[in-house]
Amino acid sequence: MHRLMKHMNLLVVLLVVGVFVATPAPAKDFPNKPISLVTWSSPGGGGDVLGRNLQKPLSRVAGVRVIIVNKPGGSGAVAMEYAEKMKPDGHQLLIVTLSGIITPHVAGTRLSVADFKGLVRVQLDPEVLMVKGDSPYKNAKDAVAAKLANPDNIKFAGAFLGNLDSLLCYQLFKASGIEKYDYVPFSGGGEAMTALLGGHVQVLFGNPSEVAPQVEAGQIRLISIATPERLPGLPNVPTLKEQGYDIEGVLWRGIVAPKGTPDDRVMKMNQLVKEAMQDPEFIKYTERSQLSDGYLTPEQFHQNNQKQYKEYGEIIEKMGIKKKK
Amino acid sequence: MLENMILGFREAFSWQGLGLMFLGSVWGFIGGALPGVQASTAMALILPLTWTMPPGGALMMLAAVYVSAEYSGSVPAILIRTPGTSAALVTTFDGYPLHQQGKGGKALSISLFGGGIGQIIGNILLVAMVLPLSRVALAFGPPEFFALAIFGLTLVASLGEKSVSKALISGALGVAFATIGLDPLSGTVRFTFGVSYLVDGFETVAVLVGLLAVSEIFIQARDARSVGKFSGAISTTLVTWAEFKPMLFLISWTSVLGMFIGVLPGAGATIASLVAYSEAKRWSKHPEMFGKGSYEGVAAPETANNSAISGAMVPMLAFGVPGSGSAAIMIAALMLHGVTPGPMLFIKNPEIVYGLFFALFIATFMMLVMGLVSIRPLIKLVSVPKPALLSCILALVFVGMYTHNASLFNVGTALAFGILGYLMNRYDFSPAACVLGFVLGPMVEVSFRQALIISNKSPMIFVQRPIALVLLVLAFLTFIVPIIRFSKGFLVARKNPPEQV
Repeated sequence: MHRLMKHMNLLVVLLVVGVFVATPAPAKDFPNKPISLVTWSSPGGGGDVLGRNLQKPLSRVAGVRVIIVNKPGGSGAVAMEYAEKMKPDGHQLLIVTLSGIITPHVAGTRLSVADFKGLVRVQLDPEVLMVKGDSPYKNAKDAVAAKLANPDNIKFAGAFLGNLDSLLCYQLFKASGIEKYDYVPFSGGGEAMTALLGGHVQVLFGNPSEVAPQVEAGQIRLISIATPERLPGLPNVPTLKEQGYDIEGVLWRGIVAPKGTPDDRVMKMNQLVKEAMQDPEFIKYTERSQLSDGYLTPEQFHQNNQKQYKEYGEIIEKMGIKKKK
Repeated sequence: MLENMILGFREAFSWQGLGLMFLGSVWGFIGGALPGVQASTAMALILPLTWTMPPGGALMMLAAVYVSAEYSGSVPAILIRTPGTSAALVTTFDGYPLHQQGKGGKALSISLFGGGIGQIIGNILLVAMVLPLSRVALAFGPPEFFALAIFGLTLVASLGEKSVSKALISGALGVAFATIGLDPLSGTVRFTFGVSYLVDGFETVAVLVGLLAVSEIFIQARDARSVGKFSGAISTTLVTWAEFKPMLFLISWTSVLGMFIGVLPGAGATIASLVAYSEAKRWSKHPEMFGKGSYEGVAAPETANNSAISGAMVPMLAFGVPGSGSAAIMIAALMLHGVTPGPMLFIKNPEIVYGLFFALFIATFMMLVMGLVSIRPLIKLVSVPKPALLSCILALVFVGMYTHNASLFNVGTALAFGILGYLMNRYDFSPAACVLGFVLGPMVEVSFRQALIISNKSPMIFVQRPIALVLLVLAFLTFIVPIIRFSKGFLVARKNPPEQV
């Protein structure tokens, strides 16, 4: 008993200190904790680069630190499973791209971007068709005509089957009456590009950001773009639409929040990111990477994801590569 | 151009540049020596640090990490039969027997000097011939990659000392494991049983470390002699000039070979060391020594894996395409700094390119110095009682696996493959063959199917393309010669039974 009394003072001191420490700091309005941006890219990948360019401007306008958390693996499945369990308080968010809507159809994984709450769409990365610098094709129609005339020796290529490149090729072939879908898939954009430069394939689907230096050097030429209208940064590249194909393909990147995140916080974060996107450094990065602004409100983004999830699911099913869940 | 060379020179030889490169060399040395941390992992881990550096400095530091790591991967390969980097896998074949014979110092110094010379020759070729070499990269399409990968796989056959068929089974098992995951050519996900981590397949590093490092630890732990220190005379003496001189020709041509293979996008130091070992064995005056402690068996792969670094720079500088996983990190570093690698790099930022060239030479020098200084302490280090040594290594392996992806799944993978490797070893199946199958299998499958799509299902494409044809013939020869020798010896023995038993 005496023992306890002796230590009583210490206990009281600890209790009091503990209460003060445990009391939350006077609540600053949201956000009041560091923001985590989870991405399924490894360092250097698209989502990771977006996150790192957003870090400084966003932390400035939000007044809190922003950290990037890399959770690569399973083509996004690992990051999405992690994000599903994140606390829905608006501080923990997931960087996503269109591939997170398409790949689950192909891989049969449980989660897709459509299972999260849309927060903001940040940038657009258009799909283009490209050829080697000395190729005679000037636009998609030329390439298609060549293929129809010589179906066995003209090859179209792009990234792995199930990627937006392959979907676009499928849609183009279907719309042009090319019967055999002999798209050549490559594991990575780099390998596909060297195959194009080496003349092993003749037409490549991809994104301008991947080949900007080669285009500048004249080694590669962009012959069509899959946006609704010509891009101001690429005025000489005709759209597929104006050539008569009703096909669109744009890879976008954005941020989503776990289900259950309150709407007002989602909107507040949306506004903060929008402000961060106006930062001159961020704009420079966007231009340098041949990306364009793709801002959408939370509601617009969420609806977009649901719609695209359904649409791409149908295309993938038609292509015969849909995985039964 | 001279002006740009001077700019690059100044940046490389500045106090800041030298300091960064020294840090990079030390970090690469440590990282490469840790089983489970590859050269690319080591580079990826300090990539965030380079965020605040100027782009040229970041690149130079990463180059220093790369160069040191490819040497230091041979340190554990030689001393404890567990490669520190996947390119050092082949070095275990002859390096470890040498250490067991007490010649660890010789093996390490051969690896160091071979690597140093390989790096220098590779650097010179890089600086002199970037553009012509880039055309080599372009000439390789799917048919050629298929042939190259098959050629690499034929080395599996020669790994079976006791039984060629067991080695082939191991290799096939490795290829089978590699099929797990998303198949890029059909979009289907294979054999994942719903486990989302497996959609990308097993992580190569985890498989490698598990089959070679973890299994080795289990094997050594089971050995009754393992309690206590390493028995046998330990020699830290370095290789002598007399011993080294005859290998100079070998080192020269393996440097060139390694360089060319490094140039190919997708084939890096690992394949370079494989092919170099295979070719060195083919042309050696003492091929029977390979696998038992041949100096050439250490010199060839270690030279090639360093010169492959320079090779990997070629497509990076010419097209902005990585020639290896580690080069991909360097490209990422450049892009993080807003510099887009590609053909315009020479024109827009030549000082970065020349700075890199100088950095590669400086990094080689630093690697040599650190290597020399560390040989004695390292050999003494592994002479500690085995239980302590093995548990430390196992702990480091697990940490390395965890840091790779911040997930325990890789740790579990390494452990599972470790158990498998242990079992394989008990029944004389070669875990190394399994690793080779795992690494090369995807390249074989993917390029084969890509080639057939391009040729409209005609297999003639492999015969019509000269490079592919040559490689396939070489592969066939590599595969068939040991079998012919074996059966010849068998027939001779039957005709002339030995006099005494």
